[in-house]
Amino acid sequence: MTDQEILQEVRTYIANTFLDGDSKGLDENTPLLQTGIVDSMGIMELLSFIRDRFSLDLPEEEVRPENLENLKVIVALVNRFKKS
Amino acid sequence: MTLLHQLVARQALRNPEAIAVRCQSDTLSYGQLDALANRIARWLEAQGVKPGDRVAVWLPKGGNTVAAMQGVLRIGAAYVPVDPLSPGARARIILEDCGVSAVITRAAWAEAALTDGLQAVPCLPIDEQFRGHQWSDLLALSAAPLPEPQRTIHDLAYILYTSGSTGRPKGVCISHLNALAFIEWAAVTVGATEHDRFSNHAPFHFDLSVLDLYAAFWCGGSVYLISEGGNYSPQGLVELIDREQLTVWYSVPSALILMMEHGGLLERAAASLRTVLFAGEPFPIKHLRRLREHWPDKRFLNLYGPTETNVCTAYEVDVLTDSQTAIPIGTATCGDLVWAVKDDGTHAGPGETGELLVTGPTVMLGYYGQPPQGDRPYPTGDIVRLEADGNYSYIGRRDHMVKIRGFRVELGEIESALLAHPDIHEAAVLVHGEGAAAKLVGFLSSPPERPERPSMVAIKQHCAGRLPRYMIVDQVRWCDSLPRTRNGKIDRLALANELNGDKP
Repeated sequence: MTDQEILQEVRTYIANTFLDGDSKGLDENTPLLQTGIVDSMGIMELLSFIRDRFSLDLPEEEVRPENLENLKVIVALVNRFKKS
Repeated sequence: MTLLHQLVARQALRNPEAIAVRCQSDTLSYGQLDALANRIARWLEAQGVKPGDRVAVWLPKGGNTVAAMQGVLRIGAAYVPVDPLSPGARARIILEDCGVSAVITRAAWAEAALTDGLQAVPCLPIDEQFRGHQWSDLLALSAAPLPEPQRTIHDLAYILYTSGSTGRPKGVCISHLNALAFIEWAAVTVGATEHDRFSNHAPFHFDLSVLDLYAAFWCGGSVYLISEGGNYSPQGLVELIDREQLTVWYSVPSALILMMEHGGLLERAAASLRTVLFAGEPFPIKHLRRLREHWPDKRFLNLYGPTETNVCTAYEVDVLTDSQTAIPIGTATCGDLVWAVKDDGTHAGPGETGELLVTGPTVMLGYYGQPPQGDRPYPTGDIVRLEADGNYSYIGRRDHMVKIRGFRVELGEIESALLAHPDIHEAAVLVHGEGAAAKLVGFLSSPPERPERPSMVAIKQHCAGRLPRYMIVDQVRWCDSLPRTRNGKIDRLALANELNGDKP
C-alpha cells in the first residue's frame, strides 16, 4: 500500500466518522486533536480503525496524542507498525 | 476546624516522608509538597496577593499543580483551576470574570492570554521565564510556613467554572466548609487510611477531582494523578491499577466502560482495589452489572451532586436484580437535606417525581459576582423520582443542560459559539444518542447575504477556539431556516423529532 493510499483511506474514515462526510479542508497537515476534529473518545475509534484496517502491532506506549496529531503523522505511524 | 490546606500541613508534620502525590513524571512526599506550597505562598505574597484574592492555576496535572493550589490557599486566597485543554479565549473569560490577582501557568499560555486588561497580572511560569519571573525563583524563598491568614471555614477556597447557558462559563464558589463536609463524609464512608492510594482521573477544574485529592490528604494516603492524555489508552489505565496498587477508584462511568471495552478491565482481579466510586452521569446498568459480577467483593458507590452542591446524595450498589433498570442516586449525605418538589410546588411523595432541591453544608457560597446562595435551597434542575424505599432516582433534566461523558454542557454556550461564526445565522444544538455514544448535533442556517456554508473542518476549528473539546459539535444539519414555535422560539421538539427520524 502506498502512502497516498493509506492517507486516502484514513482521510475518508475521518471525514465519514467525525466530519459528517465533509472532507473539505482536511489535508495531511490539518491538526486533528487541537482543532477538535477528533475528541478523546474519537481517538479510541480512530485507533481501532487503523489497528484493524492496517493490521498494526501498535505498542501501548505509542498510543500518544503526538502520534495522531495529523494525517501525515498517522501515515508514518501505520508504516512503522505494519505487521511484516 | 481544619481548613483545606491544613490537611497537607498536618500530614507533613506527622509523616513527612510519606508519599502524597504521584504521577507519570513526579513523586512528591508530604514534606516536599508542604515546602513547595509554602514557597509558592511566599511568592504570591511578594506579588501583593492578599487573603480573599483569586489566583488562577492553569496547568496540566502534576505535583507542581497540586502545590500551586495549596500555595494559593496558604495565603488565604482562592484558587481557580483552569482546564489546560481549553482554548486561551475561554481561559481569558474566566481570568477576567473572577479578576485574578496572579496566574500560575505555562509561559507560552501566559504570553497569549495575559494581554490588554490582563497585561499587569503577575504570572509564575512553570516552564520558561516570563516577564522577569521563573519557577526557580521559588528556591530563593523560605520553605517555612507563613503565619496562618485570618480565614474561616466559611471563606472561599476555590472556584470551579462550569458551562453557562448564556454563553459564558459561570464560577461556582466553594468554601472550605463546602469541600470539607463532603471530603470528611467520603473519607469516612470509604474507610480511608494512610495506606490508601486514590486514583485521580478527573481534571482539576471538574468537581470529581476534589474527592481524590483531599480524601487522600485527609487520611495521609496518596493520590495518583492520571494525565490529561490518560484516556487515550484505556489499557494503560487498567494497568495503572495494578502497577500503582490503587485502592480507591473514582471516575465517570464512561471511563470505566472504556476500560472494560477497550482496556481488558474484566480480565483483571485488581486485587488492591477495594472501592469503586462513580459520578457525573448515569451508569448504564448492563455495564455496571458486568463489572459488579466480575468484582463481587468490591464496594460500588454511585455519588450524585451538581458542582454547586458537591456530592449531596449517594447510593451503595448492592446485588443488582434482573428487573432493575437503573441505579438510584440514593439518599442525602454529608449532612445535607434533599427533597423533590412537584410542579405544583408541593413535596413529591413515594412514587412521585419532582425537581431535586438541596440545602446543607456542601451547597456553594454562590456564583462568582452573583448574590450569595445563603440558606436558600439549591434547585438542581434535575428531575428525580422518590422511590418507595426512600431512594431517589434520576429521571432527566428540566432545561437544556446535558452531560457529555460526565461533563456539564449548556447547549446555549455551544450555540453562542456557533453564532459567533460570520457564516452562521441561526444555531440550535441537540444531543443525539445516550451515554458514551451521545453526539452533539448542530442545526444551522446561513445568513441570507452569505449563503456559502462553512465546511465541517472550519466549524470544528472555529468552535475549538472558543469551547472545551467535549463541547464541539459532532454533526451539523443545514436548514434554510430553523423551525420556530408560534411564540418565535426555536422549535426544539420539531428538531428532536427530525433527529429521531419522525417526520411531523
